[in-house]
Amino acid sequence: MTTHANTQADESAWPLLPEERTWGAARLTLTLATTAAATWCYLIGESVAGYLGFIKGGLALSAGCMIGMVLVLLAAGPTCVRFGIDSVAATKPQFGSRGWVVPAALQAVSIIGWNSLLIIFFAKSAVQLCVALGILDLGSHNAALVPVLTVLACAIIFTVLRRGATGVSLVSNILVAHVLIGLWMLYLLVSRRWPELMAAQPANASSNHLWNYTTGVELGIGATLSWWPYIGAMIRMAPNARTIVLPVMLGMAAPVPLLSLIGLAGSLVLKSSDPTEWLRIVGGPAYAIVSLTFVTAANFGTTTAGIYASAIGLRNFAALQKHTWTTLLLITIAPVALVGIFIPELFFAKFGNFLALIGVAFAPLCGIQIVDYFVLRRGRIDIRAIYVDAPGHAYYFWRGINPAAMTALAVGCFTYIAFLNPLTYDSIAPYPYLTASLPSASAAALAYFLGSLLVIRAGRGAYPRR
Amino acid sequence: MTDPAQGNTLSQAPALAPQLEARIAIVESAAPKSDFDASGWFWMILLGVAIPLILLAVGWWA
Repeated sequence: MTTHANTQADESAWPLLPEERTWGAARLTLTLATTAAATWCYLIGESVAGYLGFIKGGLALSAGCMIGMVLVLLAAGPTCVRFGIDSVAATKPQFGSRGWVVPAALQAVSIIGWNSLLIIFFAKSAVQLCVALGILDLGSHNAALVPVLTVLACAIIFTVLRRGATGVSLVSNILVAHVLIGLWMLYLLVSRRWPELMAAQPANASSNHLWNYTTGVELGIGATLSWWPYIGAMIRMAPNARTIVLPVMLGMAAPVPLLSLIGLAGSLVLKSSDPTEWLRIVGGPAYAIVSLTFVTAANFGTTTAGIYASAIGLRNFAALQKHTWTTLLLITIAPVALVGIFIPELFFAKFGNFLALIGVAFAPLCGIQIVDYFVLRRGRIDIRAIYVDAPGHAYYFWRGINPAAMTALAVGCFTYIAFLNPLTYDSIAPYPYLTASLPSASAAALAYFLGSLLVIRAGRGAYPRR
Repeated sequence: MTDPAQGNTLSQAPALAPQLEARIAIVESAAPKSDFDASGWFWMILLGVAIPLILLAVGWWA
């Protein structure tokens, strides 16, 4: 193996060698925690505040995040960490040597969408920080700075990520302190507004208390399921599965409900999930500056990790394998920058609906991967076949596509929408007892298992004999 | 673990990039034979199943 290959290992979709997988539990925990601790936590908390109070909302989110995280870990974790590959490459045994473009598209759309949101948030909070510091005056002309700051942020992220995963880890080491600052902001609000917090009533609560609680759980599951695109690119840097379980469960799943409490509390008491707004009210300008710094930095860290995961995912496309890492970064960052420059407000307004539909697909994706790895293949993955797209090879199926996986994905998506419409929140009777994500993952897993029996009978897919 | 398909007729593999070929050969021989160990399963079941079940019970019946 050449030195060049070793140096560029974390910038490709190729499997990492044991000596390249140097992230221990502490480094992985820091990186995952920083990835998870972004402005989306406030939005998640705000969503839950529509249905639940502070205590129950926190419990529901914690339960949901832990359930969602274990699904993601079981789905992508084993293959990614055993062979040092990313989440998208790990879908080839299920979707086929060409069918993997479907999860890749989901990954790209999801990450680009999230990153566009975060980068716009970053730019807006940076403008507000400049105002709070007296660098800028209040005024509508500041809105014009958002596109400029978006471009600046993209340029910084590009520079950081030219170092590959090392750049992600470097940013994480600096920014993890801001998770603690987030908890301090929560402490301020809770300690100063506790009676109001306990008395606050959720605005959109149903008369069915079970439905409200389950919806809180569902929002937590959905939030952590959307980590699926990120997780492979991170855990493949760890040497083995033993290293990843606690970092993933505690580093990625735990900070989300904790920081979501900020948005939850803010929404319930002050009708705003954004601490950059309510900290001025609660603590004055000095606290606002601290919070703005936190929001700005946290969004920057998460966007950096997201852009990295997206760029790695692009490496799976044959046409992009020979391009330089710099080119891949530019391709990944460009859509984010364009959204931030041209349609930031429109994107904000429509983003929730858009992302809800994207999230519907990740529960069945997890179900398919879990049943494939643990039940059908019993842990036997052909790493060589993941990189071969030719008839007769293990994951070629039919024209590179496994119809069982495609059908199961569709079954899972329809099941989710049948249980809970993510746009209107209309639901069916079993939903309060089952959530929507868990039936969706289960239905997809069952459909995949049954479909795979036919695939196995046809002699495709390289499944081990029973 | 690499155990491609008994019962699946594989033709000669198309040439991979030499660096990828070398990398795969190393990973094939060095990849751990199993995934999560007993400790990993314990923490997953505790944090991903048992504690959420308790939280669900608390929330549903509290």
